Amino acid sequence: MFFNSLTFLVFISIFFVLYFAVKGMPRLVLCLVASYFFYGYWDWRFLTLIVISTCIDFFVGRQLSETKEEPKRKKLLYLSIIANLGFLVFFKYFNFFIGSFKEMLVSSGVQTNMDTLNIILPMGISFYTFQSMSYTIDIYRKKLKPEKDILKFATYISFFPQLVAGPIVRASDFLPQFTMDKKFNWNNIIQGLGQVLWGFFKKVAIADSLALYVDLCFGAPGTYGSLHLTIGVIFWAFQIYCDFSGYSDIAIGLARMMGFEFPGNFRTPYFSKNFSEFWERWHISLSSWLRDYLYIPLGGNRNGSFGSYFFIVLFFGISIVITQWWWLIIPGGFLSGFLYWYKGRGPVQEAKTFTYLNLMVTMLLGGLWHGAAWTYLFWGFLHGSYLIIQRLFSSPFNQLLNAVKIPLAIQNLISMGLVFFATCFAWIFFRATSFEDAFTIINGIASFADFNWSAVLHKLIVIKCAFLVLLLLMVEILAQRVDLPELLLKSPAFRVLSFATILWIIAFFGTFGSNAFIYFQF
Amino acid sequence: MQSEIENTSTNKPLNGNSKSNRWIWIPIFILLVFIGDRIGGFILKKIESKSQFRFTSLYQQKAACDILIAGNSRGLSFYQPFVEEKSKQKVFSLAYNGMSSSLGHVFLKDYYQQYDAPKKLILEITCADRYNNELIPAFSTYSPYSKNLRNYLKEKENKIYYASMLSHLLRYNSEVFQRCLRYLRSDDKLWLTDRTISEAMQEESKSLKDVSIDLIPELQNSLTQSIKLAQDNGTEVILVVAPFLPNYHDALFNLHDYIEEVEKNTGLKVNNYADAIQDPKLFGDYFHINVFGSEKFVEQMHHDGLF
Repeated sequence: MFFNSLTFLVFISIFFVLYFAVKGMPRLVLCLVASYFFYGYWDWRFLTLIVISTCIDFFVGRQLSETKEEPKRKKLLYLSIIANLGFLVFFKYFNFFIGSFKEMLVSSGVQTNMDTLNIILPMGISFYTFQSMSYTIDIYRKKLKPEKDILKFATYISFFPQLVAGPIVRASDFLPQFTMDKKFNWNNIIQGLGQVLWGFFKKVAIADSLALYVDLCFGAPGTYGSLHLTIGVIFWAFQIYCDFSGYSDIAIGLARMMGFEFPGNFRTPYFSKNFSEFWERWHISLSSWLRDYLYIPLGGNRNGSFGSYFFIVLFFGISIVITQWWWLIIPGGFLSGFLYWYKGRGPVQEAKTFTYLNLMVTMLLGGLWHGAAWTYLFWGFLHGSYLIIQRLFSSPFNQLLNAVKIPLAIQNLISMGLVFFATCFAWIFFRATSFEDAFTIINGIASFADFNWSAVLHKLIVIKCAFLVLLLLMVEILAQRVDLPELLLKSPAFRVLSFATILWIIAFFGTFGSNAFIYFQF
Repeated sequence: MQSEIENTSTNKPLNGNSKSNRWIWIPIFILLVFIGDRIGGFILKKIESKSQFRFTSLYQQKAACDILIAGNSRGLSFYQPFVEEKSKQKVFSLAYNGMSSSLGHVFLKDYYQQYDAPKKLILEITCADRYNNELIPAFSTYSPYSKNLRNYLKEKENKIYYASMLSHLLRYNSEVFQRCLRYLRSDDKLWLTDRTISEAMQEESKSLKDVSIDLIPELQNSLTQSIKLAQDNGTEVILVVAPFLPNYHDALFNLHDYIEEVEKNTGLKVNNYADAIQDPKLFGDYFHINVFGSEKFVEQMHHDGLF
């Protein structure tokens, strides 16, 4: 069931009436049944997986709190991680690895009968798996007490507003909120509804309108001129932002209307002045998850671990063997030499080396989390590289800007422009279906052939989309100066007028149809 | 964290927003949305009525002509100023991007209901090979003017029909209305690209093979009905296939079958100009000649005595 469908409108209307009509246990049961109905509406078979995952983590959580012996606790933790990652790897990555391995064998002249399986990827598996894993890891780390009520835990894992595309809410943030009696709260309804409408504006009016142009552009990249492709890539950057943050806004808004407080998932990421800031503003729930459950356990920015080297060697090894890009040995060799040279040159340098290594591993896995394709991995690699380059060169770069006495506002604009440009470059690989297509786009843009307005196709769509993107940016700039949610509460006139305006804009600019959210596939 | 949640969950009274008058804002909101929608719809309709776009002209009694053109975007190949210059007659075009013969038939019916029958109807017949369901709702902009269009919309896009009754703004949420805006100050007779096909696209066209064009039975029926409507009103019907980019034409393996089928069903000869233009520079893309190509094409049609 898509948020942007009539079915969902009927579903949520009935749900809210029932939600505020009952209390206590019946309300909990209602949430769980509604969540399972919402998820099972796509394919009821997916429910089996989520129920198994829920049961395993619930019982592992209970056992972890009752067990004092460390080896046994570790075994329980591994059981949870292996079960969760096992599902994820099987459903999401099995065909990718088998297919890549088969390609490698065939290209080496080895005939094989290996077949990929006809596996349907359950929606949102990456999201609820990470959510579920955070629960057991936090209990293992003694940061969280296990939930005693399986109904509450099952509702936490399957909570329908954020089940299929996040935000990834930690158990420590979510479960305590169940204990509070959530009465009908006018303020929550207003602010939640405001966020839901804003989310729909981003999705239906902007993202889906941009999709019309972007799909054509990435569908046949070889056929368009330089300016057309440049516009296509910029539109794609805003499409994915509006699509994903639109979903997050709807999810957070719906939860708020129900009385739940979820952390924000996006904070105007394209206004970031550096890449660290970008990752503090983009898909915050995933980047903070990766930071807390991957980057820091790897050693973070203090030291390295076996895992740091293991992952980097694994990535290079697999990449070289499967792609047969033997030239990768050269950067791999350079990296190893660099690490060796850096290692043992004092605690600071050593820590930096490991920081770079851990950053790269985290971003590579972050890339792979999005999907089973080399292009996603390369997207992760690019972002890992950006973070490393930033750490290496940000000081001399800032010194240079200061030396030429560029005003701070201009400096900020230059930094934002550079970050946006590099982010768009990486987005090309994220969206393209193959490296060939990605390089066709890059070459097409860099050639500057047909870099003129008359060579741009679908001009009316371009004008409409450009207007909508400008509108978005204006509201986001305004939101940095004015507390809009607070204003919604304080001024009924502002509230009524802003809600109505959003509805009028959606009616006039929206692209209607059952357009799925991009992140559903992850 | 918990204290933050508790704070946000309290039902603290708001400025000018006491419990008694909170609920008043709901009907005010609904009323505002409705009134705003109607005012917006009224303004946009006024704007649309000032456009020089072809479908506005059709419903504003400004479309009387001697030669009527119909078809999809390939029907734009009959560049009106050139046809008028060669034929010395008044020309009007109902061709539109992605227009199927089924939707085209609706506008043709509206034309014949409002105007004297034209002498000739030039019909580009490749409009019977695909549906463009996304285009049907786009024409709800003109639903207030045409019962035929409303019925068609109701039959084909039921949800959009009712939604556009509910929200008048929705009627103007389409590329059709965007075209109305575009032609507020310019004449849409000049609607034909002057772009030359990109080198990348030309290169890509070399790899094309086994491209098909298939006649859809329902669209064939609409085509036949359109022809019958014109003939019943005493209009001479000329069926044409406009030029394709040579590489694309070479890859089209069943165009002749398509033409034969149309000829068999309509009893009329199809004037096939699919490979009439060989210079790629006279094309905007695979399917469309540009304005320079149109000059040559229209001259050739005139030479062949079609008008």
